[in-house]
Amino acid sequence: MGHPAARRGGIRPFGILSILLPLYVAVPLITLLLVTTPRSLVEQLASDMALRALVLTLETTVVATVLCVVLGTPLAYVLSRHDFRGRDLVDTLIDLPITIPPVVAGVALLLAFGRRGLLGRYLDLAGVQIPFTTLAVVMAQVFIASPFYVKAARAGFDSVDATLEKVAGTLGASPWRVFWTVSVPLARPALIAGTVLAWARSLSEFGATMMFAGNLPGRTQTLTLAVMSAMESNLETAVAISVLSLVLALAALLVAKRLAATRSLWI
Amino acid sequence: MRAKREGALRRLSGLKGLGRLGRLGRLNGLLVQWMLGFVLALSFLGTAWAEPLRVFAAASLAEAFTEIGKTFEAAHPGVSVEFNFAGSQLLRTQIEQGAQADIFAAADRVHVDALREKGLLGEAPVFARNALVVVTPAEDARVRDLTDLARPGIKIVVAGPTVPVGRYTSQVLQKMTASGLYGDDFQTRVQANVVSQETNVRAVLAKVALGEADAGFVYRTDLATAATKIRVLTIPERLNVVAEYPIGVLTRSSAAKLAAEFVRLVTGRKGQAILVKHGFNH
Amino acid sequence: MALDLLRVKLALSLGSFRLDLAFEVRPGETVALVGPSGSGKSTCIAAVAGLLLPDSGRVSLGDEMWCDTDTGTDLPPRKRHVGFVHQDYALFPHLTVRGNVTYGARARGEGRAVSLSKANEWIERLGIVELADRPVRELSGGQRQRVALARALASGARVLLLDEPFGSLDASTRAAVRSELRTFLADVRLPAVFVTHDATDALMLAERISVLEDGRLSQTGTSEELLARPQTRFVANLFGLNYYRAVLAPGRGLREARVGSVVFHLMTDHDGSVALAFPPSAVTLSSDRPTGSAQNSFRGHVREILPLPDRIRVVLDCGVTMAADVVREAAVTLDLDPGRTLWGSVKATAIQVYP
Repeated sequence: MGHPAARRGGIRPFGILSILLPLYVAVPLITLLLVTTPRSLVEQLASDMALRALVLTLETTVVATVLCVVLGTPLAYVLSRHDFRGRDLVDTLIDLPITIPPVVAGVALLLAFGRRGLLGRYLDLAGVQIPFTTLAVVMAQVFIASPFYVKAARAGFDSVDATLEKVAGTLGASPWRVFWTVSVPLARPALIAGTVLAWARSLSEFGATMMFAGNLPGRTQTLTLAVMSAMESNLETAVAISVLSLVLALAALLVAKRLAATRSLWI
Repeated sequence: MRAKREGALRRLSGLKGLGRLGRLGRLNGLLVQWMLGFVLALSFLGTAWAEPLRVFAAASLAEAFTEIGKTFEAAHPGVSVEFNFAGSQLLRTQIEQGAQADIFAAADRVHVDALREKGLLGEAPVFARNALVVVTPAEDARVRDLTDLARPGIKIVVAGPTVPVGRYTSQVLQKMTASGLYGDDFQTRVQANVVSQETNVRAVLAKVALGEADAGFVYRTDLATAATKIRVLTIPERLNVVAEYPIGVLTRSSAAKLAAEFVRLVTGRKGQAILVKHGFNH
Repeated sequence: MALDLLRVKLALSLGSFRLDLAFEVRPGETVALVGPSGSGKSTCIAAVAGLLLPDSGRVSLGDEMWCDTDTGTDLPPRKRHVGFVHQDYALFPHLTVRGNVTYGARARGEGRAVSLSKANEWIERLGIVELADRPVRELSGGQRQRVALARALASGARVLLLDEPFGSLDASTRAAVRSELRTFLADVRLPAVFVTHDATDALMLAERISVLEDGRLSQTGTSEELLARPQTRFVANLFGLNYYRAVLAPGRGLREARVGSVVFHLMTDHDGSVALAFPPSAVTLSSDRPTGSAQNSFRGHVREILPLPDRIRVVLDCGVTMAADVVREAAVTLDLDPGRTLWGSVKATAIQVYP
């Protein structure tokens, strides 16, 4: 798994160009850490605004990620194993949320599920209104983050040799059993990576949430929305929340790498 | 000649160490030098030419100031005016963090005073006044009059507490409660109905226009942009606030003279006429 | 023992040609399906396993109907109790050897203890006990084959299907593994079908060999039958035999037959259209015209020299193409070189003549 360049000659032939990007990413993040003190951090994070945002964010992103996995895994498997007419269309459709601006996604969600929306109007008649609720936050997150999971999961299943599944069948395993005992274990690193990516993306979700769910502390103000609002009044709080988000993201990535790495050496 | 130019560029780019890149491959090192030098030279040149006048203005001033900007450009050929319209609180933070701007026009005194205290803004006279109204969706409005705002189940959208119009909203609600006409707990009940705190007044308007919110608090001057989709409920004058808009030249501006002329236009006859046309100073 | 008789009849479109064959395998019998790559043999056993559905046909084991296109019966692989050993063995990389072997029994619903004991039984029978807890990637080709077999059998296979069982082994392992497999198959007493492109594999392992030619079984028989009397040029070539066709006038005993530009002296009672066949080992090469009892001596030049593991095959162009086998030392004696003129001789009695 090593890149040829790593085995000989270090960073040649690109020299300085190859480290510009990591530097560029590192500098603002390090600045974020340098601008605050540990005491200020703890103080700010103990504030009402930060705590409520943290709890809400953890709740919604976990639910959103679980939904992505539960709904996305069967889809990824079907896309991987079955060649059906319109497969490319479905594939492209699933990828769309990555390419459209999140705010546009928010507007679209509003137009579909808002009180006057295409589907929302019927829900409204039944007394159910989605915008400005915590459910709307989860929906926005699922919309934006699901492609990350589905893509990764599909790549994972693609990498599992179909012959192994067929042979498992001849040994007496039902399709369900084949899926759980062969396909999933072998695709596991990709599935985990996808889950973490989806979680990270839902953590950082802003535009669609702002548009579709609104911004109310405790109900819809996630960490990212809280940073935005805090920026306008108290830079210190904004920085503290930003550092918290950074730490969460870092933790997620490290855990994911750990989990993925231990099983990737089978083949 | 060539060597002289190369030397000049090297000095321009200020990266003497770039010469060492030659070790990795003459072509590579040379290429990077030239690229960096070229880009820096371009930006240098760019700044020397027609630098636009940068105006940071409150979101509610969008239409009026755009028109004023065109008038200014017509009177000053070769000058272009660039606007950044957003919530005054956001603009203030940007300026504090070092954003390049020449003029700041806010929707309340608070943010202007904060910048003046820090020495970032000069004198800032008030050039316009505004007032609040309540807007509801044009069709199927559940809020018919101001008392409906306190009804349970009504969805109200306001701007956040640091956005000028958000603060004005709290002030109006306080006044309405104090008047005794709407009930002692009016403000509490209305605030319990708030479902979102937006970052600028146009976002409030948008949510009401889409029909997602039952009511929102915006400026009287905002009505024109969404006239067909909304209905207006006026707030009695004695319960309303007077929103005061100050404008000033930023001390860090590199075009102070030009900026001062812009401010003169805004406070002068022509500028005021445009503002009145857009609903200010009623 | 009609209980465990495997009957296969199938017809299948395979791109440019059509597969159409039928065969039976008795319990304890090993049958080889021989043919070049692309001849449809892998497709054939895939159909027997239930991994594909033929256009028309029937597959049954004993009185269990696995597939019948007339009635629309199509049992999925997991219900067929086949032990399918894939060309690359397809071992599960995320399980140990024991995990692999236990898989089938567990999949069929057996409890953990029962599955484990079945697995251990086969692990022992295949002599891979010390490998049992190793991850699969550490195993050599021969070891993998044994694991694949143990896995198939521990799952309760009633038929063994092997696709190119030696395909992924190198030459030196092949021979050893081949003889092991032969003993093992004799021991296990299940109907077994294996497909291969290598005639030697078939000869060594199978009681009956079927040659797949252009989608049809051109000949089925024991190794002796095929070696002695190949029915088609294809079959003959497969086994490296010299094969010609001729027309004999009515007669008996010693006769003459013209093949191309040469005349063969034969000893036979057959007449009409006949096949002539003899192995390369029946041909003697010499630098000068031979004297002696061989009635068939032809002069020709060396077209090709093929080194084989224990001898050298010389392809001689003497009016017809003839292959002769010589020991290594002869290469020196004869001064073997392409283009060299040599005499090939074969006794009339060594030539098989048959209709």
